[in-house]
Amino acid sequence: MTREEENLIISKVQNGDTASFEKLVLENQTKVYNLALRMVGNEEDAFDMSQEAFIKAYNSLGSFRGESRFSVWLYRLTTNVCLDFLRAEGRKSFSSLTYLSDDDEKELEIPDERFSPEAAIEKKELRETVKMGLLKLPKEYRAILLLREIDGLSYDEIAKTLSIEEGTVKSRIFRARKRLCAILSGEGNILNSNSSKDSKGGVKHE
Amino acid sequence: MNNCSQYFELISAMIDGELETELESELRTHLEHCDECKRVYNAFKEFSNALSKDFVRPPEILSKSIMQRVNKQKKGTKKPFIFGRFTAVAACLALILLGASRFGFFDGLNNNKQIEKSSLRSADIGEMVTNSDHEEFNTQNYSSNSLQENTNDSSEQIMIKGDINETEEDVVFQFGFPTQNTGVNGTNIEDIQKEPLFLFEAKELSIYEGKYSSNDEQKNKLLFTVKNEEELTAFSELLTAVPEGTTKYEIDDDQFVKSNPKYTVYIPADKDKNSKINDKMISIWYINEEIWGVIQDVRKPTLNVENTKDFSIEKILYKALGSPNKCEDFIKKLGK
Repeated sequence: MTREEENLIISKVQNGDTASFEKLVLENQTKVYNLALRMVGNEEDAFDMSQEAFIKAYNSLGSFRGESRFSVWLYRLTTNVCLDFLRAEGRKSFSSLTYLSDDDEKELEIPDERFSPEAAIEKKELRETVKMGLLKLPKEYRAILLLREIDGLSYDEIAKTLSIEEGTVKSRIFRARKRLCAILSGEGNILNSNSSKDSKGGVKHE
Repeated sequence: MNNCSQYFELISAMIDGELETELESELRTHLEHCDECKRVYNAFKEFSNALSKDFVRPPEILSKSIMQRVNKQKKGTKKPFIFGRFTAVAACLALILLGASRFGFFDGLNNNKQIEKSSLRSADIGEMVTNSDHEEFNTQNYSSNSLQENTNDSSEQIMIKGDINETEEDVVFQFGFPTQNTGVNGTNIEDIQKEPLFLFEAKELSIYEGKYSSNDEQKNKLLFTVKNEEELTAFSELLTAVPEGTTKYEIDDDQFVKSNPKYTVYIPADKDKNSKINDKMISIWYINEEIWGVIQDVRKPTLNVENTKDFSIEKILYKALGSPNKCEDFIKKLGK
């Protein structure tokens, strides 16, 4: 869908043609759903989050000015919906690692060979490992990494979205990756832990 | 080791295409013969792949349920109403209080989350219901065992046919329960999960201080009766359940339900509309700058002793939108 097509549908909906909103839903639901899934870690919650994001988008459509693309705006909304959800969930958690903890100052743990393109490991398996490790990242790190990787935002766009400096974006993304390295190597074999159970929103590391 | 750590952050930026050209070419040269940095690069690349690739298709009903809600919203935006979101948690609560087997409403649901939670809480909740009901309905032995026993009287209560229709009259409040049919005969399961649990109509309400006893009217301390449309609207907004996604019931919080509520709101049913509807009652507590409510039907003890022996009241615990401050302001205003 081109930007023009997007804007046309939006103005239709703004003028009362609710049914047309479905086109926007169908166009964006895969990305929204997968973004939510990687944020909250399970399908039920991802479903709820996706719904809520779209409903919120629909409700705020009146004030959408079209400075950015609707899809990008929607993905940011999804991220925020997920963060709110995780924050509420986080109240129940027993660990209270703050966002910028001492772990960030540690050296990067050099990842092992399995990440090399020639490695024998099944790529799919490796990706599952990474996804599970992702859920152990503090939610803000997870969010910024996903803004970059799924939403495809540039550092500059992310900086504007989060109202921070571009340099901060760069270092936070790096720290997120660094932390992921530590999670994947330092904490031993993810494949052997029962992380699938505590994958819900990565609560343990909040 | 060597000081490749200076390169790591650059590698991160390069993956994102955010490295200046000269630095990038310098880095690429370095990568050709530095094993460590190469591994870092590969790992970061794989992270990127894992996150941005292998997308799954969302469930088919996602778009349908979104559109359903969007359309529904469009219809009923003007009417003020109090609704409780059918969250997994609230549903659980209702489930336990009535006894899962009886609430045929839930037969279709196989949401593991719900079942898990209900087994955790039945002990606490059963007790909560027992204790708080004891004084009000002292004509029968109310025990948590009675939850299991099924009588016609109680099942009728589930069938409260509060129609969730919007009328054009000067109804300012809508409360109700979904009909029993919902969910059993082919209505979309996902719809049930997202439908308001309670929703009903009222033209006036009474605010009592503390607890309300339908047995012993003398004991009740009536503060105000609200009939004015504006006031009803305002108050209904205070008591509306927090919208979907944020209504959460935390197990530690149910301790407060054993204490007396701050106020009890009594809502007489509109018998002309539907003679089967019961009066409703909402007990409210102020907890940590939030308003929490327990809404239930008011079941007056009948003359038929048999029926009054075992019955349970469906109670729904929910968090309200309003804040204690706003509520107090409202009450003060009423007093003037």
